[in-house]
Amino acid sequence: MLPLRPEPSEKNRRIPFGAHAAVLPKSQLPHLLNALLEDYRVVGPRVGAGEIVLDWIGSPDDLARGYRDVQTPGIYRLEKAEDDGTVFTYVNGHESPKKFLHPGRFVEFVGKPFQAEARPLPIEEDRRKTAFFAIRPCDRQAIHVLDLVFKNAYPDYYYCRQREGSLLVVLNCTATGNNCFCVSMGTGPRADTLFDLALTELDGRFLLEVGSPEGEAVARRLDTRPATSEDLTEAAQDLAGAAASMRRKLNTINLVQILQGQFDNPYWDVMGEWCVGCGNCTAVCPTCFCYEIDDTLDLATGLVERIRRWDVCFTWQFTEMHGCNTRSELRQRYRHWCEHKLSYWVNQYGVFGCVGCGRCLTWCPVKIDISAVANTVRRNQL
Amino acid sequence: MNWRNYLQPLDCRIEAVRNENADTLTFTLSFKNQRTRKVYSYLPGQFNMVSLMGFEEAPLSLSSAPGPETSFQHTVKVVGRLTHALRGLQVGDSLGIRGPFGVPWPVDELMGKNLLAVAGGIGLAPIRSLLLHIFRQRDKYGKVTVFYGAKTPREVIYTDEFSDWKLQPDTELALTVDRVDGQSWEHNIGVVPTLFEKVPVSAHNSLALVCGPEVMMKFVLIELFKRGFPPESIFVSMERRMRCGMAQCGHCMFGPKFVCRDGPVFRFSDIQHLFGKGV
Repeated sequence: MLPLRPEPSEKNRRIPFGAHAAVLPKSQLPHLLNALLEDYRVVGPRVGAGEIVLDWIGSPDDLARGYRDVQTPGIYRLEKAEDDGTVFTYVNGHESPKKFLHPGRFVEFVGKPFQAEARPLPIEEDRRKTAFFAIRPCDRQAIHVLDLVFKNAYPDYYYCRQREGSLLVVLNCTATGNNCFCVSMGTGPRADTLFDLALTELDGRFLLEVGSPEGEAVARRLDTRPATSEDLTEAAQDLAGAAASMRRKLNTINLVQILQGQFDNPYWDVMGEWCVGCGNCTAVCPTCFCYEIDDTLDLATGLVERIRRWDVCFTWQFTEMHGCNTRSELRQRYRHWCEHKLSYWVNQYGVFGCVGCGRCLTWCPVKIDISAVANTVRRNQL
Repeated sequence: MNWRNYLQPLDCRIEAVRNENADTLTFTLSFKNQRTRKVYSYLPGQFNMVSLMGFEEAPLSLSSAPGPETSFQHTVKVVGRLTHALRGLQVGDSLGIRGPFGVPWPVDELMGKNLLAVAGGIGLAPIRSLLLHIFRQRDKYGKVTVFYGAKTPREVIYTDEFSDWKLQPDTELALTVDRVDGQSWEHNIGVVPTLFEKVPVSAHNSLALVCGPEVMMKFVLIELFKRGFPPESIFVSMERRMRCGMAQCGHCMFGPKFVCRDGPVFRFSDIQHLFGKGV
C-alpha cells in the first residue's frame, strides 16, 4: 500500500479511483467516528461562532450538521440548511489542519532571563495519534505541503510530534465553494493520493475508499458492502459535476517561470495599492508556515517563555534588519506572497504552495483573488 | 518516536571577550558539553543562531577559523535587543548556540586562485574567518587582496590583527573609511568602491568574495564587472532576518532561495536575477 509519509524524493503514488472501495450507509457514519475515537483523538468540522470550525470531536453528535455556508469574495455566512439527507452541506471554514500540526502560538522553551538554558516543556499526557476527519482534498494536499516544509533535513520537533501517525479521513467534494479553484491546482475535487480513508457522499450512502493499512484497520470495523459499478459511476459523475461547476480558474502553465520574470511588472504597484496588508490570507492559508519567535517574560513566575507564533510576510517587520528592509513596500510584500505560493514553492519543494482552497479570497477584506492576480500578470507580461 | 529538537540552544561558556571598538565585541565561546565540543565543526562563512532567554535568537557569522582548538568566535556589533544584552555578558557567563548553518565560502574552489576579499563594516567578520583559514595553509592559495571599509576610523574592527595579516606572504590589505571626524587616519578616505581606483585588481585566475551592506555590494559588483570578473567568479555573503536557520521560519527568503540554507554565501551568477529586486 501507499507510503503515508512520503519523503520529498519519492513520487506520490496515485490511488486509482475505486481501487479499494466499499459502500458505507449513512446510518453507519456515527460508527465510523466511534471507530476513530477508539484509537485516535479526532479533529473534524464543528459548528463554531457563525462558522464551521475544525476542532476536537468527542462524539459523533459533535459533527456539524444542518448548516450551510455561503462563501463569496470577502464574505462568509453560515445559514440553517433544509434537511434533505445530505450530511456535508458545507465546505471549509477558515481553519485548516495547520491549526493542529503547526499551531498559531505555543511555548517552545522556558528559561530564566539573561540565561542560555532553554528547557522544553514536559510532554503532554495524551499521546494518542490524531485523526483528521472529513478534511477536504485541498487540505489533505496542504498537509503534504507542510510535511515537505517541516520534515526537511532538520525535521521540526513540534510538527513531527503532532503529525506522526496521524490519520487522514478525506471527504471528497461533490459540491464546491464559490471561491474554490482546486481543479486548477490539481488537488481536488477527489483526493487521489495520501489519504488513509476517503469518503464521497452519495444519495443515502458514502463511497468509502481505503488508501492505507491504517485506514483499512478502521474500515474493517464498519458494516460496509463492496462497491458496485453503479456506486462508482454515481460517485464519478458527482465528482465530475463538482469539477465542472468550478468557475474560478488559475492557469498554471509555465506559471513558475512566468512569475519569476515579472518582478518589475507594474501590476504589482496596483496590488500594492489594493492590498491592505492585513495578513488574513496568511492566517487562513493552510500552507503558510512562516513563524516568528517571541521571548515573553511571565511576570508571575519571572521566567521567559520562548513563544513560536505564525508570522505574516505582509508586515514591515517581517524582513526588517538593522539599518535596512529588503521588502519595505507593500507592493513588494504582496508580490512576495503571491510569487511564493505560485512560483518559488515549486523551486523549493516541487509542488505549488497554493492548494486552491479559496480561503484567502473568502477572508480577504478587499476581495483579492490570487487566481485572478496570477492570470492578470500572465496576460500583462513585460 | 523520539525526534531531536533542533531548536534547542546548547549552552556555551564565554571564554573571552575582546572589545574591537566602542560597540563591537568578539566573544570566544566553547560548548559546556564535552561531546558537543568534540563533534562541533564549521567552515568559514557559516553562522550560528545565538540565543539568550528573553532576547530571542539572532544569526551571527563565525569570525574564527576552524582549527584544532574547540572554541570558536563571534564578532558582534551592538545594534539590537539581543546584541545589547550580549554586551552585558562577561567571561564565564553562558550563551545558547545552535549551528553551524548555511553554505560556507567555497574553500576548495578558492585553492590556487588569486583572491579579492571585499568587506564593509561588520561584514569583515566572515571574511576574517576565511582569511585566518587561508593563512593556516597560505601556500595553497594565490595572491590575497583585502579591501575593507568602515564608516569612520572609530568603527574599524580587528585593528590589532592587520599587521599580522600584512606579514603574510603575497597579501595586501587596503583600508578606507567613508569619513574622518577629527581622528588620525593614514589610509584612503571614501566608500569601499573607491579602493578600486587606488589598488590595481586583475580578474585573471581570480575569485572575488564580498560581504557587507547590500548597497555597498551593489557598487562593488559594478567595479568587479568593470574589471572583468564574471558573475560566476564572484561570491557574496547575504544578510537576512532569520529565526530558525533551517529553512522553516520563512524570514530569510530571497526569491526562491532560503538564505539560511542555500546561502548565506552565494555564487553571484545564481542570484543575479534576484539581487536588488526587493524579493
